[in-house]
Amino acid sequence: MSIVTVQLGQCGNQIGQEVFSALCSDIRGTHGLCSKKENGSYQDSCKERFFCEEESAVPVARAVLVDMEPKVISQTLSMAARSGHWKYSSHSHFCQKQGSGNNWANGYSVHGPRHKEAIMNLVQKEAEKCDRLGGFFTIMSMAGGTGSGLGAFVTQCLRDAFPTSFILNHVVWPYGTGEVIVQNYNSVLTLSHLYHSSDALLVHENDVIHKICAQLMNIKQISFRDVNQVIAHQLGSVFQPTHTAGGGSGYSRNPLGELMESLVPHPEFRMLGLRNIPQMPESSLPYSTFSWPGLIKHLRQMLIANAQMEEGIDWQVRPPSSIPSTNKPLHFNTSIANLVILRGKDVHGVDLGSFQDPSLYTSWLNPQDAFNAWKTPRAFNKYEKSAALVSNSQFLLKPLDSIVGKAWNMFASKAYLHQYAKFGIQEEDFLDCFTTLEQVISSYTNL
Amino acid sequence: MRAGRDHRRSGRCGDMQGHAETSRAMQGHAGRCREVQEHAWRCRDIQGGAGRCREMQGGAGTCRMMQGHAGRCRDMQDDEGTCRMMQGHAGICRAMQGGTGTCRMMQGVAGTCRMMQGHAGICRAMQGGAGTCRQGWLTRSAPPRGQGALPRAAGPEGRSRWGRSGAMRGQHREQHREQRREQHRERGPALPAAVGALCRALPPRARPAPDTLRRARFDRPQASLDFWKLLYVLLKQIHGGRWTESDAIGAQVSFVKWALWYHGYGRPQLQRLPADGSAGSRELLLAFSWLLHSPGLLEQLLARNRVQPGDQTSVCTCEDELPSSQEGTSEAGPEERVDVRYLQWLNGRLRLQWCSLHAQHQEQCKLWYKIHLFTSGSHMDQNLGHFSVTETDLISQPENYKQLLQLLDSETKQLEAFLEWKQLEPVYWQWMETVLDNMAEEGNMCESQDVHVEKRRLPEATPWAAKLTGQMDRLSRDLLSLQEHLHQLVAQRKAAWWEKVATREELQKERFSATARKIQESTELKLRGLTSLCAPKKKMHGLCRLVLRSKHPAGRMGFGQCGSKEAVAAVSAAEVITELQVREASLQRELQQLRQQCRHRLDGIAESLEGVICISP
Repeated sequence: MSIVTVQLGQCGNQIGQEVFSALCSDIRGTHGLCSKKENGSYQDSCKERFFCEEESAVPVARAVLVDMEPKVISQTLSMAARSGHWKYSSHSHFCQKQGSGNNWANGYSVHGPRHKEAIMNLVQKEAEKCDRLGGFFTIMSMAGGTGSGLGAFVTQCLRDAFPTSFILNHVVWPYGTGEVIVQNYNSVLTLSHLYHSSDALLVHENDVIHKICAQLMNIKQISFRDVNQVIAHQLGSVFQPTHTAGGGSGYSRNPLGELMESLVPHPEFRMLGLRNIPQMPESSLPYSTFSWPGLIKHLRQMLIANAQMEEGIDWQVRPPSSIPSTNKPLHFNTSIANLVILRGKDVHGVDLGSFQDPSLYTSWLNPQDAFNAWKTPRAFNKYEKSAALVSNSQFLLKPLDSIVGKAWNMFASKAYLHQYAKFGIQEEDFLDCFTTLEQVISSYTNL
Repeated sequence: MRAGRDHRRSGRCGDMQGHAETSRAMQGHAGRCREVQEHAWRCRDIQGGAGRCREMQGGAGTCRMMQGHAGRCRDMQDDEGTCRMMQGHAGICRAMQGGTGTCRMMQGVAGTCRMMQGHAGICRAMQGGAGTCRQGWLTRSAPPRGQGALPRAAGPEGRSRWGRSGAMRGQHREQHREQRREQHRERGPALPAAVGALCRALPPRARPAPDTLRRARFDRPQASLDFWKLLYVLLKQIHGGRWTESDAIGAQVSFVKWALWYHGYGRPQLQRLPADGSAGSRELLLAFSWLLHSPGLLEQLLARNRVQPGDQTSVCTCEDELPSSQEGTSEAGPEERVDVRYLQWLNGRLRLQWCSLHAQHQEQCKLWYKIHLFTSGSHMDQNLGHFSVTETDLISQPENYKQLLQLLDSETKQLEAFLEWKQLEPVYWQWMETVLDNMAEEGNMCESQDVHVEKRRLPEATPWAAKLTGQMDRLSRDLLSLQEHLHQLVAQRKAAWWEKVATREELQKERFSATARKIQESTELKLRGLTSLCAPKKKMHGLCRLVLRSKHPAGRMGFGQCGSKEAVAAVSAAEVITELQVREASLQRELQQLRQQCRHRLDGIAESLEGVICISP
C-alpha cells in the first residue's frame, strides 16, 4: 500500500521534505530495540508506503511537489539529494516563475485552473506507480496564497479524479499574531473548501509547535526549520508502520483507510488534532526513562484538558460524572473519536482502559466505536517509548471560532474584498464559506 | 451583519442537509454494495496498461517479485473474504434492525403460532425424505391424548442407540409401532451410515462426531455446545465469512439465532435457548435439519469450498430488488430512537470500508495482470495460455503441491460422502421424524393445538419472505406505471398529431405527410425504448475464471465456470463492463430521483417551521 504525498507551496514543500527525511532516518536508525525480523518488516512496510525503489540506489519519495515559485522547490530537491539516503524523483515537481502574493483567490481561481492538467498528470503518474494506491496526503499551509488557494483547488481535482481514494489534508494553522493581513480570509476559504473535498483535515497550529520548540526542545532562536522538524516527527509517529486491530499479523497495509475509518466516518466532523509524548531534545534522551502508565496518564489528561503539550497540563479538569447532563464542566474537551499509537518496548501489555471511559466521548458513540489503538514494538526515532494521539475532538473549536470571528469582522467592513473579487471570489462565495464553518462550529459545540 | 451570521447558525440548516444526505445514502446503500462487484470488473488500468509491462520484462529479479505477488494475491483473497463477510453481516444487521419488533414478539409467548412454522419446515423436509414416512405422519396426527409421555419398548441391542424405547398403550398405536418396527429392522444399520456420511460431507472444520447427533436426539446438554459451534461455522460459511475460534460462545449463539431467523426459521423455542449455549441440543438438531433441507445447505457448502486452481472473480448482473422503503419505521418508540449522527457515522464507516475494498480489488487486478502477462505462453492448455496465481505459486514453491493434493483429496472424500448421503438421506429424515414426534409428545401438544386453527403465516419481517412479496408488489407496480406511461405517450402523440394536422393541413400535402412520418418514427422509437425496458435481461451470476487474451481487443475473458447453480458462459470483460455501466447509469438516475423526492419532502418540512430559514443543499 502506498501513499502519494502532494506538497503544495512553500510551507508544504518544506514540511514534506522534513517528513521524508524523518521517515528515512527512522528506518535507517539502529535504535529499533526489537527483533531483526520485526525491524525488517517495519522497514519494508515504510518503504512500500512512502518510497519507491527504482533502478536508483536510494529510495525515491512518492511525492509530487508543486509551487508557483522555483526557489523553495529547488532548495527542497537539493536538500533531499544531499542527504544521500533518499531523493525526490527528478520528474515529479511543478513550478512557475510568479507566486500568488498571499492571495487565496489567485491560487484557487487563476493558478489552479491554468496548471491543472500539468499538475494532475504528475499526480496520475505517481499514482500509477503504486500497486495499491492507499490515498493522498497533501501538505499545505492554511493562510498563504499558493499552498492554501492552489491546495484547495488541487484537493478538489484529486477528489474528482480519484473519487474512491482517501484524501488526508495536512494544514498548518497560522500564528495568531499573523504574518499576513488577510490570513483569516484565506483560512476560512481554505477550510471550508477542504471540508467539501477532503476526507480528513489534520491540523498543526504554528503557535503550539512554537511553544513546544521553546519549552520542550529548549531552542532559543526558533526557525521555521525547527518548527517543521517537530511537525515531521509528530507526523512520522502516526504514519510509520504499526499493527492495527484488524490487520492480522503483519503491519497494516491500509493506514490512511484505517485512520479515517476510526476517526472521521461522520461527514460533519473532520478536524483532527495531533498530540505526542514524550518530546524532548535529542541530547537529553539518554538520561530519561519513561513508564507506559505515566505516559498514558499524561496523554489522557492532555486530551481532556486540551493541553497542547505535556508541560502545563491542567490536572483539575475531570470528565463529567457518568450521568449525562447538559452542562459539561468548563474546559472539558469532549471527543468524538480517538486513536492512540504506541511505539516501543513492552507495548503489548499497556493498559489503555482509561481511554475507553464513555464519559470522554460524545453520547451518541460508544467507546468501542470511538477508540482505537495501534501498536508496534519497534521504537520510533530514538525514543524508547513514545505515544501519539490523533483526536477528533473539540481541540480546534476555540481557534476556529476565533478565526471565523475575525474574518467575519473584516468581511462586515468589506475590507480587502476587492482583492478577491478581482480573481472571481465574490461576496456570496465568502458567505457560503462562513455558513459551512458556522455549521462545523455548531456541530462540534453540541457534542 | 454579525446578527445575520448568528441567524444562520441558529438555522441548523446543515442538520437538515445531513438528514437528506443520510436518507439518500441509506436508500442507495444496497446499490453501492453491488457497485463493489461491479468495480472488480473495471480493470481499465489493466486494459490500458500495456505501458506498464516494461518492468516485467526483467529477468530473475522479476521472478522474485512474482512470488511476492502470488503471496499477496492470496492475502488479498483472504481480505476479500473478510469483506464479503462484512457484507453478509451488514445484511443480517439490516435484517436485525428491521426486525427487532417482530423478534421481541417472537420471543414472547403470544407468538406461539410461529412454532408451527418450524414444524412445517421439518414436515416439508420429511415429506421430501420418504414416502412411507408421510403415511406414518398422517396416521399419527391424532394420537390418543391424556396419557402423558409414553415410555417405549426397547429395540434389539444393535439399534437401541438410535431407536426408541418404552412400552405402548392403545391399539391403534400398537399397530403403528409394529409397522414402524418393520421399518426399523430394515434401516437398522443404515442410520449410523447415513449420519456418518452426512458428517463426512460437511466441511472439515464443521464436522461433528456422529455421536453428537445421537446425543442431541436425547437432548443431552453435552451435545449443545458442539451443535452451536456446528451451526455457527456453517452459517458463517454460507454468509461468506471466516469463522474464528476466538469468538465467544455468546456471540456465536446470537449470530446463529439471527442468521437462522434471517433464513426464515421462526421457531420461538430456539430463540429462547440460553445464551451460554448450555442447553437445547435437540432444538438445535431440529434447526440443523431444517437448514440441511431448506436452502440446499450441503450443495452450497460444497460449491463454496471447492479447491480453485484458477483465478476467479465473481460476476453478477442480477437485479436484486431493493427492499422498498418503509415509511412506517418512524413510529418506533422513544426507547428505540437512535441519534441520527450515529447512523451517519455508521454510514460513513461503510463508505470508507467500501473505498478500502475498492483499492484492494484494484491492487488484485494489477497483480493478476502482471502474473498473467509474465507467464503468458507457459500453460499447457492453449485455451488458457498463462498461469494462475495458484499455479505460479506451485512453480515457485513446489513443496506446496502436497498441500494442494491434500486439499483435493479431502474434497474428493467429501464429495464421495455426499453421494453416499444422497442415497441414505431418506433414513435420516425418517429418524428425524421420530425425533420430532418425541418433541411433540413432550409437552408441546397443548400449545400447538390452538395453533392448528390459525392460518400458517410467514414472519413478514424476514427479508427472505419480504423479498418475495416485495418483488410481486414491484412487478405489479411496474406494470401499472408502464401501462400508464403508454397511455400517456399515446395520448400525447395523438394530441400532438392532431395539432400538427390542423396546422399543416393548410400547408402543402407533401410536407404534411413527411412530418407525419417523422412523428410516427419518433413515436416508434419511444415505444421501442419502452419494450426494451420490459424485455427480460440476460442475467449472469457466479464465478468466472480470468483469462488474459491479448489478441482480443476485449482483453480479458471470463472462461469456465463453477460455484453457482447457473453456469456463466464465456464472456468478455468489456461486455460485462458495458452492461454494468448501463446498470450503474440507471441506478444513478434512480438515486437522483430519490434525492429529489427527499429534497421536496425536506422543503415541505422546512416550510412548516416558523422563524427558521433553511438553505436547501
